[in-house]
Amino acid sequence: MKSGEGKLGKKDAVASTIFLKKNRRGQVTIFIIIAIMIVALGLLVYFMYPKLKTTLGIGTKDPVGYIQSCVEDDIKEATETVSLQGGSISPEHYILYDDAKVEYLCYTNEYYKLCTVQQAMLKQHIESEIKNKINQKVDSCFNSLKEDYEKRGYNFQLKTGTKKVELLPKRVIATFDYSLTLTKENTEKYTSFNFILDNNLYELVAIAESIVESETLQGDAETTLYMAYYPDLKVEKKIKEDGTKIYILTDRNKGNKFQFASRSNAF
Amino acid sequence: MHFKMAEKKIYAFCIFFMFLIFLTGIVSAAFFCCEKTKGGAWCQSMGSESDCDPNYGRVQTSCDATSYCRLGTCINQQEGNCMPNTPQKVCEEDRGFWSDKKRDDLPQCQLGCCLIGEQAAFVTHVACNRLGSLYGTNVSYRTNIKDELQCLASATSYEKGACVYEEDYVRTCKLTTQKACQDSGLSKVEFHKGYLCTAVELGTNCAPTEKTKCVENKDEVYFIDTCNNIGNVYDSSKVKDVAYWTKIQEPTCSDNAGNKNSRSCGDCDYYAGSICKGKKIGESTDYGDYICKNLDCTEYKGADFDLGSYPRHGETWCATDTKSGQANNLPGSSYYRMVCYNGEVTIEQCDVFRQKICIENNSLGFGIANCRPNLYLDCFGQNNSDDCLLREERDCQWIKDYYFYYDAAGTFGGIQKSNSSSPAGMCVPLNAPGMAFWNEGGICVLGSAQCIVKYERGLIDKWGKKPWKPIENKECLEAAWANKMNDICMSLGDCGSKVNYIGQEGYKNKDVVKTQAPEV
Repeated sequence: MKSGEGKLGKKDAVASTIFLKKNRRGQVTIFIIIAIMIVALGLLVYFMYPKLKTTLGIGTKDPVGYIQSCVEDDIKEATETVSLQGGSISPEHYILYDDAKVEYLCYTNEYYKLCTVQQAMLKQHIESEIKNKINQKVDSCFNSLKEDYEKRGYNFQLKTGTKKVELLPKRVIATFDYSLTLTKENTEKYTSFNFILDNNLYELVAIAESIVESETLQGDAETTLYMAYYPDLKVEKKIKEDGTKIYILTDRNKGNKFQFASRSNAF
Repeated sequence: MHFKMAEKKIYAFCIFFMFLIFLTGIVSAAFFCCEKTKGGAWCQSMGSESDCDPNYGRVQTSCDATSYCRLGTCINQQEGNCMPNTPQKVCEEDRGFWSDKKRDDLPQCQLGCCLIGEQAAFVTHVACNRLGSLYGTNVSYRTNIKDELQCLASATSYEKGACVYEEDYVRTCKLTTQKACQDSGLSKVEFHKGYLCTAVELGTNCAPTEKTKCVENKDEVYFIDTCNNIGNVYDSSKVKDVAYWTKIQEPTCSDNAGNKNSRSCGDCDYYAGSICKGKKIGESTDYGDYICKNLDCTEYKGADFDLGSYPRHGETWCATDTKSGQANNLPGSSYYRMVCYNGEVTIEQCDVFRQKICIENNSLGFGIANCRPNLYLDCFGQNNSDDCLLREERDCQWIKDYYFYYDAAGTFGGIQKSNSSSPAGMCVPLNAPGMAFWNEGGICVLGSAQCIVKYERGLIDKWGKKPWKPIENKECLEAAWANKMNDICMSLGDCGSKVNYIGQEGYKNKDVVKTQAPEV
């Protein structure tokens, strides 16, 4: 064997050792990085698990939370729609304003005559409209909940009840009196589901009713009177060519709005 | 040629009645009462049966005479309010209770004073109970108070104090009323009327802070303590004042003008133009994050306010959309009421076609404006200047020396110059009303004027082919006469030769006066 052949020379040995050491350090580095990533992933899963479950449709432990998040967007949209359209989802007798069909709450087709009230039970009407709008969605949400739990091996017993939407001070509450019993290893029982929307529609509707009363008795309503009483309220009145008035009530703090039309004592 | 005063009035009213019809755009006699129209409106008088929804009642009479469209009162038994002028079907659609009686005749619709906590509301008894259940508080209903202002004034502010109690072996405190303190169910409760929770002698764990907050239903900025109770109204000079943190006191730092944007005082007043709000960039306070926000419309830069001045919160004033420099009441123009509230100016149009005008009053140093009807309709029926200019009853102007001429048959003959046996002038609208002039001429026909100019020429002048000389009414050949007639015409409405509200000329301006002089 010649020198350096088949046998490592001194230089080669040193280089080799250095190479091996570097290689080992690189491996260690990689292992450390992998370890950090595993720990980070673990922490992520630990803190984000409920949301991950919901996002990935893994299934939620809490049916109440599931139903709330399921109906939330529809309730918000329905509330917004009725607010801009004078209280109805599909207005029948309306005037177009700003691309919205704004329903008449008080109307006469004649001139120099006081209007006839077209919607006397406004609060109940709005509650009914929102409820009818979300009806199908609620059923669909409970069906999805059922599928999810049954996939996970739960015994899902649902007794349907009434659906109710209420306008209350500073909030809109949707309540579903459904009775749910979940059984797997233990039994969980839920007797009611609800969703609370932060909205001043109750207050705005009360003001609207007062304005309608003024329109039918006097032919007009004084906007500054309401703004003087309620600092957070903005009342605008827009007059159309045929004498129709569009009233726009806005909560200055939250931006909630309710608008409707009236035609009374048109000149 | 003579005229009869009484006949003239009758004919004048006839013409203006027709003008009213043109203005309304509909025939005044409505034949069918539709329980519901095809457009979805309830209880409307329509000109044709075909306008009615066939699934509902319809009859050829006025709606008041029908059973289905008789107006009554709709009672909302849940909320306790009563809506007048409501048809039965409309009421019962959403489970309301309908009565054919007027609202004032129904016992359940009588208003009384409802006291809910420290607030008052002038509502029905049912509404009062409803409010109590909604807010979870006991209510008191007084039927002897029949006036809303009196009711609001009767609202008592229950005296508050420090409600000291023990929680987790710590002596703590809540600022509340005596009743709320007693009903709280807290342990070892003591109520100290008029004291703040930070009073040293109470020995609680609540201490003064330099923080402030707004309180619901109150205008002012308040100090808060470490237990999140409110203290007295924010006064930076008293932040370290032990006495100011001991007992509830009235503020003494007020400038009586709402303390707008004050660094040091939180005694805001909504009616003076300020209210507690979070401070924004550019606003600063000595302590805390809340300030008496100035609610005046300081950023408003309309031409109706001089440089440097601006409308105050609550002020209203009149404006028109006529281009600057133009006269008022031009075609297309309207009157507007401008409203300043909460730092924002909103615009309200009084009415279309100037059927309403805006009037304003600044005599108390505070602008108040309102829209009211343009009372021009009975101007034409006035034949003397005193009646014509009666401001309380009408908005008219008296034009001297010309009158509306009617011949013996009662036919309108235009505007003519007054003489000893005719009216001395004419009464016309002060604020010319608008109209859809592109559809009809209407009232403008009254502005037509004819002037007969008598010419004379002798035989010699005729042989000499000299021109005719006017000997009578020669003033009608002058521009001044034409302008006068045009002024009268313009006062009637969107008539005559004029520009519109943006300064654009009418397309018939050159045809104001047509003169037909005799041939030479």
